Amino acid sequence: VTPGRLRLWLRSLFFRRRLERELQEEMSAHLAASTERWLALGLTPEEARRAARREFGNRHAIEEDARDARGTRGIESVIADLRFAIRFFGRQPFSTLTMIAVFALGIGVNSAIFVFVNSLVNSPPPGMSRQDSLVRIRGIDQRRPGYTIGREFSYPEYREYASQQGLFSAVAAWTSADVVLDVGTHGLHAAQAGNSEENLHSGAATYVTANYFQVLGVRPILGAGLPAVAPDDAAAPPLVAVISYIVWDQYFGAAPDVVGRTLKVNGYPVTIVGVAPRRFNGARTGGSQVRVWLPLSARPQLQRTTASFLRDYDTAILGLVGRLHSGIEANQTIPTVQAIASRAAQQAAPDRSYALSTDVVALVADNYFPPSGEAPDMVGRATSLLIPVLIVLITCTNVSTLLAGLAVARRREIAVRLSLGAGRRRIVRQLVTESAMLAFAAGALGLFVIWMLLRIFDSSIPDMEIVVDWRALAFTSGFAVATGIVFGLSPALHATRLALSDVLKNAAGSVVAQRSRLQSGLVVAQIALTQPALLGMGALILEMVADLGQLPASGLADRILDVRFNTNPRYGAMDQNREDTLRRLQTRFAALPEVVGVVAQENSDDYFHVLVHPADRVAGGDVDFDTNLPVRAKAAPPGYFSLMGIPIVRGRDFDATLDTDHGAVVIGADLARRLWGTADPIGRRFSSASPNQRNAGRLTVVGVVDETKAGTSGGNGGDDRIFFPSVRLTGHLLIRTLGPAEPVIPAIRSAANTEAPELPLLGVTTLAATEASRRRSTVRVMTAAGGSGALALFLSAIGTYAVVSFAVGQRVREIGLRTALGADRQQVVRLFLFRGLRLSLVGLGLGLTLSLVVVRLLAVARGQDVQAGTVGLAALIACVVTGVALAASWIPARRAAYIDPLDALRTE
Amino acid sequence: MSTEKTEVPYGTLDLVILKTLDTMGAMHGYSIARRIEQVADNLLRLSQGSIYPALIRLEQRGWIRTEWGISETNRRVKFYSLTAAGTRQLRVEVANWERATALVAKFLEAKS
Repeated sequence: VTPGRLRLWLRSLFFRRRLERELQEEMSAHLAASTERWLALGLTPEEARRAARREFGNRHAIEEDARDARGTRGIESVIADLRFAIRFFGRQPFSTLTMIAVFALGIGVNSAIFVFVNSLVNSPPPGMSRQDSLVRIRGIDQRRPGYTIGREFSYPEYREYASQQGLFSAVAAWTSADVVLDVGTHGLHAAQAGNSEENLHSGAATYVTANYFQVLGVRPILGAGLPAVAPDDAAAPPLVAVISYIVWDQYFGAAPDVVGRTLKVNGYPVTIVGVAPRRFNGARTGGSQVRVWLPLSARPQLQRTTASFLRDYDTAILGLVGRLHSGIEANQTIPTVQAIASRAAQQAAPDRSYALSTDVVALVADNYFPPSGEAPDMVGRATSLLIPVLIVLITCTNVSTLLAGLAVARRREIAVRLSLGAGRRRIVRQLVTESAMLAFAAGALGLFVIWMLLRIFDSSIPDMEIVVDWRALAFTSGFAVATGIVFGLSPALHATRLALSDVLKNAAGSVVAQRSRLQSGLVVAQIALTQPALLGMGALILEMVADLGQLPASGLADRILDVRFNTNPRYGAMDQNREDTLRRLQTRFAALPEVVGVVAQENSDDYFHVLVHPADRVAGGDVDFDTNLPVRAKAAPPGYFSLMGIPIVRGRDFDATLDTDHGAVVIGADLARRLWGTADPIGRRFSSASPNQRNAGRLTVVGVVDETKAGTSGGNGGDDRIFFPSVRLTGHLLIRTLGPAEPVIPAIRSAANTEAPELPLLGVTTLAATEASRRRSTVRVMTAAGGSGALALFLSAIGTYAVVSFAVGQRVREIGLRTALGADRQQVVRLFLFRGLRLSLVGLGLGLTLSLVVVRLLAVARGQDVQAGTVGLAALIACVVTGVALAASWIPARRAAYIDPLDALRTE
Repeated sequence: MSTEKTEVPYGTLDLVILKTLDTMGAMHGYSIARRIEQVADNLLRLSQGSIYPALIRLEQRGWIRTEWGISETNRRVKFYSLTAAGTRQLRVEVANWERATALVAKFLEAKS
């Protein structure tokens, strides 16, 4: 097709009326000329006109041929269909809106999921715009075959990438650390608190190369940004920082003159030279939003470390982003960067052949580390996809029910058109056009609602930028039109399969309306599909309720801090030096005036089996002593029970003076009760087959604790718990404070920073905060699951309601007759209610079968047996769904009963 | 009506119109129809109107162009003329036609 021909085709399409008029004019001129010729040959005017017309041929047939010749027939009829559909829907705005709303719910759910996943995969980190030339340079470590992990870069390796001027126009590097910020008396809070000198907050610092902001294409909203200084410049580093929007807003009251003021980072005064844009939190997502960006050269001083990382190949701490030269594709850089990676691996460990590699990918929010290469969990994925798919199926059957009802209501119109010679294909096409249009409108509405919600809630999702982009638009419109066509097709085919005589006879009133089997089928499908959807949701909620039950609200949780240091060997071996540091840290924390006690927590929650010593088996317990008993082990350092507020109800705590109270264990009260009933458990013995050497062999009970009476939930308030003594030094400390622990956090950070600046502090939180966030996320997921369940139930109720309503509508005359002949209202109600009930029962049977499949799937996904609770839930849901279906058919049935026989017989 | 008259052979109307325009230059619809009848010596049964769909088809393909003008009987009519592509197309179709007729002629001449 050449542009010229396309132009002519478009002209034919858009100027159809003008072209038709011109053709008319031409043909009239033709006939006039022809008539004149016959007149000249001596015919009378009347004869001449007739001769001219005969010579010309059938004018209407020629007009039709001319229309065909323009080649715009197909599209014109689609446009005509659309126009007709708009007029048709315009005439019944209320039911149209209902259908669009029902449809929009289903399409919206899927669009929302798509938008979320699409944003996860394709969006740049928050606060940045998408730029094609911006890439992440990622380190890959493949020491284990078939399994990759991410690695970070050393400064010398970074220099090598940066020197590839032919590939990258610029490469920036950064590394982050937790820091203590002192915003001093500038801060709002300080002013309120009465001008205290110190105003400490915990936050994060990102040390960056001078071109960092420039490479990311992020411009500070205030100030000039970081100065261009080389990190290895020998001169004293400039102590300047760009602060995050949150720091500016919360601690400086968004003061416009913040540039030039100072704040302290780890105790050193730093001059503010800029404010980062809102939501920007660096090129890697996650981490504190209370953040400052400083020159890389300031790192040794502020983190109290040496500048040796600028020379060492084996201090890999940097993340990299690069900007590609124009015309260079990311994959063109691969050979070069891989060569650099293997050189760097040689430098770092010449004696070992490390499988280190590097790749270059477009910068998006969530790709800091390369994919692990592990096989994805297919069952888990399938299960998580199940719910949205079910919701769409339910919605689609719903809409299909509505469309079927619509088509049935129009069967007279359709029958008349068929009998007047309209092709069946033509009518089907028109009906399908209508449903596709409906779906499209619904998709637009759904997407609009999602977009609105994002506008309202976007700032509450700090780690990712959720965007409605062209992909989401394409997906939604494609999905909408496809469902519209697929689900509009069957009612359309069904409606046009009518014999005219049937319909007209029906109108004459002698034949009871032929009930639509299709509609009934759809309702059955819906009731059947709703059950597994609800079941999946319900099982999720049950599980979470159980989890919540294990998180008792506690009075002590806000007085206990959970402090974690990174003791990964990467930051230094666990040698004498490191042990001294950890011991020093404990002493230092314990010396703080607000602190009551410090224990080092060992993360050794493992499961194993024990067997009770034959001599210690007593009657009264409710366990089978001959089988191995599963228990959960936990290490309890000296002082753990008192610190966590767990009361010792019998016996004693571990002896702190012995380095290990050999073979001594403390057990939970619940376990004691189950094993020995009311008998004294102290001194009784187990043997264990633990894979962990420390827990193996003969174990003697020295004490019983009651975790349910604890001031906190020590993680999980387990029932089958056995505690072992522990004196191991770890980087995970629990600190009990006198008063609320929250205000002590800065002091802890500050102490950690002065005592062990080289040990990365991973986090300091109160147990209360941890519990609250767990509870919050649980409640959020439960709300979402409950909401989806309610949605599914609501949709299937609408479907049932629609079908019974249509059935009632079709049988108005029959009802009128029956009532007139003396049927009472109860009988009429029963007539329709039974119809609803029959459909529900069939749906119920199918749904239960499907539910059983889901139950199995859920069990497989969790690697457990089918649980009685889930089966009970399935039964309960079956009852609820049937109840709702009955209620949905009762309403129209009642309406039917109140039809006035006179009115009913007068219609038509 | 003479029984000797034949229909326009299928698919040749386009060729006939192109050839007419090639010989006569720009013409309007009525004169094209008359010209075809004259050339055919009144042996052709042609519904004059049927040239209009053909003209539209040829125009859509870019082989002829149209222009409004005044006819010899002083009426506003469209004048049709060949485009460069139309001239090329005519050559192709004439060659095709000649090949086809030559082939058929060979069969008809063939003796046992």
